[in-house]
Amino acid sequence: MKNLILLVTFVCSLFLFCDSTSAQAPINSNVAIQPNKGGLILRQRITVTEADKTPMANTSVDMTMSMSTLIYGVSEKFTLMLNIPVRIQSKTTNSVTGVENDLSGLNDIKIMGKFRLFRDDFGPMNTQRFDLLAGVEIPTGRDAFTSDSTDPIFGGVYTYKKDRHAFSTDLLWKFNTGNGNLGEDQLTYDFAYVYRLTPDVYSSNDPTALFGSIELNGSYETNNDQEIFLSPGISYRKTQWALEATVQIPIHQRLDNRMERDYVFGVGFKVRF
Amino acid sequence: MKNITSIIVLSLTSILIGCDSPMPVNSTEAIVQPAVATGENTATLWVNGIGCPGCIPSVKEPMLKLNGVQAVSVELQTGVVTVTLNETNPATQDQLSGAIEDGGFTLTKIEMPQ
Repeated sequence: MKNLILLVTFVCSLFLFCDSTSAQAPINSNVAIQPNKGGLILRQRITVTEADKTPMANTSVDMTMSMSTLIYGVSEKFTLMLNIPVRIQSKTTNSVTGVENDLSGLNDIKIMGKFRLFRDDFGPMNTQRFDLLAGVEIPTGRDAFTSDSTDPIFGGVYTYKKDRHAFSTDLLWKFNTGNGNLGEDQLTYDFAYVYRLTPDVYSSNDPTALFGSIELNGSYETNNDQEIFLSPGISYRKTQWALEATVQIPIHQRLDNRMERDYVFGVGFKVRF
Repeated sequence: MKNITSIIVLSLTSILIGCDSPMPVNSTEAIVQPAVATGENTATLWVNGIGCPGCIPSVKEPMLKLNGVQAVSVELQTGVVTVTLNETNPATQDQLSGAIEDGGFTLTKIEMPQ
């Protein structure tokens, strides 16, 4: 049971680092763009995960997560993010015994800071930026969903945007300061390309855009578990809000300590206050 | 699968609900201004780095916090920001430049009313 909880908890980890808040942002990756000083954004996502292969024999998992992220621009160079993951449903089924187990509740929250080190705006819609990321995962989750340790996270994100194209890549390392109860140290990395599908040229009156994205989202743990997802997505953006949808498909999995996800489907919205 | 379908439907519904209500915090959101200033009380700024529609509030909000600004419009394609200033006690060039900096963008040129 303990292993299963570990596995289910881990499923959420990739998403929890993501804070694509604005600009021509990917969905599952970070972006080196920040809101203005005093700007406040709410990002809400729902993800559905299905996994048939778990370390526990004959067990499958269906999980639904809510991930709420508040993003606040402290200054033009520094942003704070509060990430609150809640497991709405996490149903495990043993195909042999038919026994089902359903868990729900708050997971460990994260507080992250993003500090801009480099900015080069080389055209009206063109920019490249690099931000440092640092934060901490706090053991706020209910018994089954917490690491019971305060785990620091460090990394960086680079974004390059020119005309209709944008590219972002990030790298994050989470130090597990606990006894390994809920995983090992973890490296996550992302590569994302975002293309503005429409319009060709923005109108002056009502700037609205539809973006298509393709991402590689990877993770590696010090216990040698690793996986990479290919994640196509689409997002529709107005000035004050955005809608987004993505599906994550595994293209590489070498997992001994947690379940192999068949897919992750996510939908969400962002609202700027 | 039934559960997944239900959840997807619920989430899409919540998204749609979320989209109906929110938005313009600033009354100027609906104001459409000419891209280039022509009036006596308008300033025109050329700004780099405004990436997409989601960046526009980061341009507008710092400006609208200034006492001497009535309205702001942003032309995304060209990066031209048109600012309607108060007739009495209008915002200064330094204030407008500072607001662009607060938004996290680069000001390349500014034309203040004569």
